[in-house]
Amino acid sequence: MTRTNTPQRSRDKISVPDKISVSLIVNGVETQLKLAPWTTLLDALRDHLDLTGTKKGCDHGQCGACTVLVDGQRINSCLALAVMTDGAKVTTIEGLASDGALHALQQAFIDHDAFQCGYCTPGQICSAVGLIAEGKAKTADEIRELMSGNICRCGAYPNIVAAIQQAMGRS
Amino acid sequence: MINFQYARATDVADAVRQIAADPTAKFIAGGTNLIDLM
Repeated sequence: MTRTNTPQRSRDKISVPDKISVSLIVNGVETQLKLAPWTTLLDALRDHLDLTGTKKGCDHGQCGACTVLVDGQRINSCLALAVMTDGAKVTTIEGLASDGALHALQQAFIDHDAFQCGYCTPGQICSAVGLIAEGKAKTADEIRELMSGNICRCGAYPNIVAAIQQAMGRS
Repeated sequence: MINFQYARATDVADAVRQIAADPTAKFIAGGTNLIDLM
């Protein structure tokens, strides 16, 4: 009698759904993708479009490293299915600079040394773009509160707040 | 992640019809940690 460690599962019962067409405007470029329904926006950006500036930190919506702008609104791309964002305009860290000039927030992060390892930085900057567009934060305390979805393991928070304040002054 | 199918409802009536047709169907809208549990 032979024994096997293979679980007794009927593969016939598992039907793999078809891939779904998704069209996105990523950093101003129209993009067509064929994706499995369970592909997150984060994985679509990183693995299908090679836009690896957006980082995968916790992959369950707690760290904010994957923050991107979808139709101008900041979201955790790890918690959004790419198929849900069909037709949307997506802006990642790669799309913020224009004509070779850094976005005001990118420059402010450099000016204030607002990072150490830099892993959270693309998410911090995209989140700060959304924060400024929302127009709710006026004080440093309000910036801290409304940036609380973006965790910095290195603890560069004072410099991040200073960088955002600088960029807010310019916008 | 567990394989699943995705359908976009055209309106409320369509959403109700589609979710009623499949006892395992769930609504999804916006970012949610429903995705973590899949």
